[in-house]
Amino acid sequence: MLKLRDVRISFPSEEGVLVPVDTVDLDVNRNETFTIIGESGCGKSLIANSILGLLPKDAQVSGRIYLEDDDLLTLTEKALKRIRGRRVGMVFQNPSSSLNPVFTMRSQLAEIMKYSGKSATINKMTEITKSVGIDDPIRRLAQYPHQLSGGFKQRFAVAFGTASDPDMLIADEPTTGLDITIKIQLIEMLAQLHRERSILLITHDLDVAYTLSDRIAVMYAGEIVEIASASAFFSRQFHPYARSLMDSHPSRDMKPIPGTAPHISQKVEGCRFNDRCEYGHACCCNKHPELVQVDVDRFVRCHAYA
Amino acid sequence: MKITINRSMSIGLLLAGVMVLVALFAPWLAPNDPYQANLDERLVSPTLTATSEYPLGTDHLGRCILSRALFATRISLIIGISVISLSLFTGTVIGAVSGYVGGVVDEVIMRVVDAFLSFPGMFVALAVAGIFGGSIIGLVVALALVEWTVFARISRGSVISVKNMDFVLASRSMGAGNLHILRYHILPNITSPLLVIATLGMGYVILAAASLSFLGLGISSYPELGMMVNDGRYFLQSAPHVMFVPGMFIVSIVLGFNFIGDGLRDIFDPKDTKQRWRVF
Repeated sequence: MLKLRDVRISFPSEEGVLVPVDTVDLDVNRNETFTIIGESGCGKSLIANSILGLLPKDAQVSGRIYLEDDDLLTLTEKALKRIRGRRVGMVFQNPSSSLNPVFTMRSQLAEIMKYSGKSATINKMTEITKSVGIDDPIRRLAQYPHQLSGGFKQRFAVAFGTASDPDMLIADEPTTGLDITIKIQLIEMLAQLHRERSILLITHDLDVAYTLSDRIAVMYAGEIVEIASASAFFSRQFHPYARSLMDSHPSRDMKPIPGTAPHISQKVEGCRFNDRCEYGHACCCNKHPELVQVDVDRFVRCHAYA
Repeated sequence: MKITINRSMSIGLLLAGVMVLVALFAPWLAPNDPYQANLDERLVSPTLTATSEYPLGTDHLGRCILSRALFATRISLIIGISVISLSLFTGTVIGAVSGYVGGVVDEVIMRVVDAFLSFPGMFVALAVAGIFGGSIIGLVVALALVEWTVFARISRGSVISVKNMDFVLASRSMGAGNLHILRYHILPNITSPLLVIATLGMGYVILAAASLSFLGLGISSYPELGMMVNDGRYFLQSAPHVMFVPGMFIVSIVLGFNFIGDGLRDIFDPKDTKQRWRVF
């Protein structure tokens, strides 16, 4: 469905070229939920925005991004517009700012449907609103964003992303800023959606990843360090960073990872996790590890498995 | 829909509303022909009785001051509304494009605006009004040339703050184009500062038009408040009403619009916690 090959995102800056995302390869299969997890600033959201060409103008994206047979990076803006919304929908983090404050939900939903060539009848709109778990659609559609709670706003954001029935949904930290009960409801709702379409889920929330994912990629400092099927990943992590990440979860030891991730302006010779890794070898400082296959459905970027 | 109103807004609406009504119904309200001179009745003092022929007196040519002021209010409002509409439209479009497109386009447009702002506004207006002579169009163009820069700067700033909001990105992710985003997402979100500036600008423009007329560069073929004040200058000691009456008309119009502008600003201010009166 979606294939990223050797994707590299760079920004020119006064300190030289910054590369927040480097050599990312991943595949999202049809009707699969693929999750990218990682800390803030590791480049997850940049990947999400690069797929539909939504990065700022000064960003340079190299590599190949295939949606079925189309190479999205070579398409014109006009061709991309026809893909946005219709074939790939997006849900953003922070629902309170991803809705226009001066229009009712109804007129915003109608606008989106009109834009993707669907007729916005009230029946259709009620149906879409109901599909994201909103019980009294007529009343909610008549409201403005400031009259809705965070949970409802995020449901509407999901409704907007799926309004034109795309085959693929990119959800960029959809549960950020929601309290735990609403988060669970939203997860259940996304779980229902995921049987019908492919989802690329970006999150730093391990619980969300655990509940929804079919496959998982762990990102660290702009690189994918481990890709595995969700069931295999949550029973055993290979990469030391992935393991530390799991150990930082409250249900495990709640052990913080020492140190901080390297800043993007920092050039790291060897493994980017080296200075925080408890298993560091001599070769970790000067040789950059490659992503190698270690199992049927598992790739790891670590010298310990090379 | 809830509409709230505050004290300065209601005073403003009352003042400006009366002046607008007076201007609309000037031909029916005016007791005399504003152009009719009566040299036997020059500089008659105001007599505020129901039967008096000249309630607010006459000027140095024996023309009815009330009638002239009523018609002059019309001209002032026409000038104010045309200048504000013209500069609101051009300024907003230019500023919005500048802020949205950014880069070199933004630089060029803003340097042009800076160039306009580096002249004292009144000076530019004086020069342009001088070139065009005493026509309404000339006066409107002169004042709009000064006024549009305010709208351009305000709308540019607001567009820049709105264009990076998530809902704009969300709309792009659903396939919306630039024109659609500007019209549907950005313009509706920048109307409140523009509305405040437009009402406050209304007062400024009317005052500026009166000033130009006072200096003899305004309209000569119609009664005009600034010109009427100027006419009364020579009789300030013997017949102060000739200057005072049109002056009070100017004050009422300008004050009215300024109060509305202030009120709107308070209403749109999200941090404002002052008491408001709910109307609807």
